[in-house]
Amino acid sequence: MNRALRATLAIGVAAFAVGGSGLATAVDPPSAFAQTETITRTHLVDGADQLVDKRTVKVTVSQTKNLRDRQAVTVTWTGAHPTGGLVADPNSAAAAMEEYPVVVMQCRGTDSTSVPAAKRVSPKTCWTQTPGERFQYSQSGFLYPPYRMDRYAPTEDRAFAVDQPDPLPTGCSPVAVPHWVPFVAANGTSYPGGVLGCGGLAPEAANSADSLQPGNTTYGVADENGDGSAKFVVQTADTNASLGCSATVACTLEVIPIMGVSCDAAGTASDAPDRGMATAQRPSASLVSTIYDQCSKTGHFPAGAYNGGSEVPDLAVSGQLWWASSNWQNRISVPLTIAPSASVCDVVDNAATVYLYGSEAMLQATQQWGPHFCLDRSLFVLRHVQTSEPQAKNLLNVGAIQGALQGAPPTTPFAHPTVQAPVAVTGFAIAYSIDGADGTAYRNLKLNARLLAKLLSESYRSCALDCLDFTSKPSQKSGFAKLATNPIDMSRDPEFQALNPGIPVTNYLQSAAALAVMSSDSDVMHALSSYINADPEARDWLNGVPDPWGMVVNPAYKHIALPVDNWPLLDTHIAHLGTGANLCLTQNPVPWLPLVAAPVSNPAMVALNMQFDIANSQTTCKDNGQQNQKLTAVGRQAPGERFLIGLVSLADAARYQVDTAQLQSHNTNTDTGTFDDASGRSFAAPTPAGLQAAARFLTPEDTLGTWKLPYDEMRTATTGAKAYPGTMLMSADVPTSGLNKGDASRYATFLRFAGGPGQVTGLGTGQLPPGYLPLTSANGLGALSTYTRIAADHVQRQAGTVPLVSDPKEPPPLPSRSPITGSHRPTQPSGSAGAGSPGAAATGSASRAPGTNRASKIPSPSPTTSVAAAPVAQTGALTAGPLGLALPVLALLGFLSLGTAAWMSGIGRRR
Amino acid sequence: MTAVKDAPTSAEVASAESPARRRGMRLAAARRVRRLALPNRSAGPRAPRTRSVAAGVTMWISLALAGILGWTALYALAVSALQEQHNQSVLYSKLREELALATAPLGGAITPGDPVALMSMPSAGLRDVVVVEGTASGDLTNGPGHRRDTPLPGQAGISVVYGRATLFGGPFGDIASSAVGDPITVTSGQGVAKYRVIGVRRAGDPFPPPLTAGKARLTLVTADGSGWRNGWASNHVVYVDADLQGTAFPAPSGRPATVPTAEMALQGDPSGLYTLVFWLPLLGIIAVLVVWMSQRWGGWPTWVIAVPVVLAGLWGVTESAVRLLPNLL
Repeated sequence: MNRALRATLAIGVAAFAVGGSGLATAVDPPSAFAQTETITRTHLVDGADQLVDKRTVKVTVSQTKNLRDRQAVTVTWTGAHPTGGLVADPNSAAAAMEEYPVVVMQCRGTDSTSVPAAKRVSPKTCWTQTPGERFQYSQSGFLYPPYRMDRYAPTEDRAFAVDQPDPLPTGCSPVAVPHWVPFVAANGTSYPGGVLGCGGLAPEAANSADSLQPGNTTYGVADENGDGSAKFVVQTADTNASLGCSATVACTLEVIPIMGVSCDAAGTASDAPDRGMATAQRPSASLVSTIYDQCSKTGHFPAGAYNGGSEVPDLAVSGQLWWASSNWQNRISVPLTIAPSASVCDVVDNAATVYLYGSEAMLQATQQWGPHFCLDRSLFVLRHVQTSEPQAKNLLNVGAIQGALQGAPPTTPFAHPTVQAPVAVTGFAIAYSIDGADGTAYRNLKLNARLLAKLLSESYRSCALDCLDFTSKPSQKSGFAKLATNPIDMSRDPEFQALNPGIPVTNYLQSAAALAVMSSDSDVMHALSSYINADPEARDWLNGVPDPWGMVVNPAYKHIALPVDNWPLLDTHIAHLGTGANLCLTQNPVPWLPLVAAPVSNPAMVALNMQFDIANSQTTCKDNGQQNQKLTAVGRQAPGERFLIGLVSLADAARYQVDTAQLQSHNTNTDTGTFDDASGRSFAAPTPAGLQAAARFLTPEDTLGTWKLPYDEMRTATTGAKAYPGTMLMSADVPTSGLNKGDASRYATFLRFAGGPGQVTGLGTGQLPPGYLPLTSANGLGALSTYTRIAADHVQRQAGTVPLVSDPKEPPPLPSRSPITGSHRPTQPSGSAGAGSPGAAATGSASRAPGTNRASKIPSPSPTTSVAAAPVAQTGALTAGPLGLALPVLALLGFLSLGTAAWMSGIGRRR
Repeated sequence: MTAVKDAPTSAEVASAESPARRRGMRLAAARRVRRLALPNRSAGPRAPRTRSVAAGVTMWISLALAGILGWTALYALAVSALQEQHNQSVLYSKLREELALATAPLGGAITPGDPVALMSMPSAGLRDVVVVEGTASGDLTNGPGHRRDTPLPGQAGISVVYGRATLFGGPFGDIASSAVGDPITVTSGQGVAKYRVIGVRRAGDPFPPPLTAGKARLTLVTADGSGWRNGWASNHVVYVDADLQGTAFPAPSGRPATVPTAEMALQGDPSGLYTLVFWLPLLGIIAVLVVWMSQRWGGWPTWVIAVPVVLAGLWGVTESAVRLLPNLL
């Protein structure tokens, strides 16, 4: 309990000393926001003001412009009333019961009297996920609850029933003193809400707070000094159409420090024309003191105390009354500007579309680049189809697509001449959500390759009650018995504790025993497993050498060949859980550790799970014991006890503001014994500096047609200590033969943009968002962007030439189209050039060189060998070899044996 | 092996014999087998044992070898043609059904071995020959094969079809003698395409003129031998080019960019080895069983049971072994 309390405080207080995850820093300083306001709680007693409380609140917001869907911004406040009656999850419906919270919510409209009333912000345009957050009634039947006695409320809001739909919707029963705050959607529809949403809910709303994605309404916590902060997840029309915030529909972030209702117990307020209660409804004089007692309460819980659930907070100061005029007038309005969504391109009818398939790690960049192309009517629609990189490369290889985004060169060279033009430097990030000993988020996570190998190789037992019986099965006794002594999860691993002192052991969370990864093929996994493979400690451990504390690799993974595009799930141990604990597994036993690992379908899902602390281990038995029982994900973890770790792309980590771990870059220890701190080891964070240091190691490889990150060199060179090992070079693959003129020109335009104007960091259209290192000379990456621009010319030319990575040259002037050149590059309407050319038919098994991109393999001064074609095209010679003589030889042998037989039978007869 | 080397006797004759005669024959057979197994006994005690044993064993081994090789030759030149004919008729009905239902493959990645088109070339004696997908040695046992990295016949681009010259009926045995202008008709899922031969090429001959966009060409490929090798020991490749008359069909994308070595011209299919290592020991076991049976039951019952089994074993061995030979033979 106590820990969870501290945790909740922690969510805010320690938040956003951005240090650990440097990429999260706002790029656009003017987009930050700060405002100070003085707010009061003043009761009206016998016609005189009675000042109860006065505070000066300062609110800052990290980013308010060019916001994109699901982007997290940090809201920080000082000087608010300390919060009491805390609950663990500040985004839950229960959090509204907190006393004196700082309510942060997203509302449609502008907070200004200069705009028409329909476009003005009001409580009715503010989003709450659950109906209970916008509905009140008097449970005791008392006719004068605090929200009715608000001195600043207009007369109609102090009536018996406020905004109640007439007639009462079916399913709603009449209650005392109902106060409805209907939600008015962007299209004008009004959703009344009511008890359990009986009056109708917006499609995005939910009746209970336990839906997978929490609402973004935040009941933030102010500590004893009134300070605090929260991560607020902005929703645009893409995920919340009812709220409907977009580049054209203005929205406001409302920060409402709850001060409590300023009471007018007699109902006689008259400091403005429409204040006070209607005369007929005013309470009788004998009731006024009772009403005043209820309305003027200052909180049931002391500041910082945790709400155990059995006690009832004081309604007058609770977050439930955020819409009451006393609280609403104290709001600090932060205007938000939503960036043009990538979906603006959906409604643009440019004739041409350029498709880029592949890497999800490029998604954040292409979303900002997209509108740059589609909003210019002379250009085209740039469409990024997210697929796994290996799949995109395969599709490109067979000619099904014309552009792919990759994070690593293809394993076998492309069959057609194809440029791999660098478009950005980014990388993978190990995102985490781990709470330290004091319940606050731990923000300095350090990991080495061996810990990552341990997580991936299903070597933590992840089962507190010895549910994996490693010793009883005779067939597996030899290898698996050793696993029984491995730590249960990473928080119990002495190596982890040595690198990250101060993280308590978990309450047996399965998510601490596995790395959340994607199940699809991915170049991101390729990069991660390359890093693990290049690290001697990790590789030795995977080969079966126990770590200094005796932990061994799961025998199913011993000697696993790395790198891989897709991490395999190899363990086959069936869990032996106690009877009744998990009937799904008892009645239908399946291997346990793969359930714990439970990879999700794509990297974006990992990012989503990390953003909302969702543990995906499929170990919870839903409807335990019933016929429809099934295994489901564990679900959201409670703040204060979180331990989640997952593989995401750097750009996703930056956009969703998840914390990212530092990875070990150097290890100068020669001693292989146990250690209890990180001395001798260097760790690099995925900051721009870390990426820059790593990108300087990129070496051109003409055989691969791209640049390569030499992990071994990084591990030993002095400058490698600061180099982030998760760095990846993203490239666009476009063939230089077989495209028609229009497509070639459009892909070339894209490459010229990506190699030039697109390499500017920023949050605007056509800029490179945080998480990517621009390919500029200042970053030492001028050669890469130069190559991309030259590659664009080769793509435009479509002459089958590929510039050399080490020495790129512009394509030569176009030769006059001779029939010979034509015979070498027949134009194939299907786009699959080369195959089926006379060369292929004639030379058979002989070299099919003209159709491959070997041009870049030949270190000739001109990279364009295939243009200088052989002068005469002749049918090549092919011979069958000795096997062609099989029939004559068989015949000969047959006759020989027949002769021998005849001779021998002659000998036999003579005897 | 015993069953093969003895003189052929049909099972029908045995069944017509009277029981007494059959018993006598069985005794005789048993005697023969005993003599066969230990030749020195009947040859007399004074005969030099080693010489006699060696001669007998050599003779039987040679006979067996001659039998096997004779079978192989028979299989290669006659039985394989029957096998091909049977497969063709099965594939023909399959393709016929697919064409009727409009489910015949149109391109992209097609499973090797599936029928893709019907081809007629009267000048080479080809009438409604089913073209299968794939050009590995095994695929070509069923008829001409379409090279998988080229467009299907009738589609824009250069389609390449391989065919055997000698084995398995040698469907392409006569294409090298075709003349300019000979018609070729190909029926595929997209319709009927009519080609005319523009020339026959061998190593060193110039390529035909390059194809312009949207046109189609069909190149037939088979093996050819000169001089004494002609017809049974072909050692080089001959190409017959034919241009499409009329408009080409569009070619869907998704076909493989390259084919494995085994599907290129004059390559054997090493995967035949795997089936061979299965069939060879099986044949050995059959041989041992047959010897055991003949000693135990005598001649006729052994013959009746052994002949089909031994033939099946031999068939399997030769079919696998022939796969190792160059695909165009």
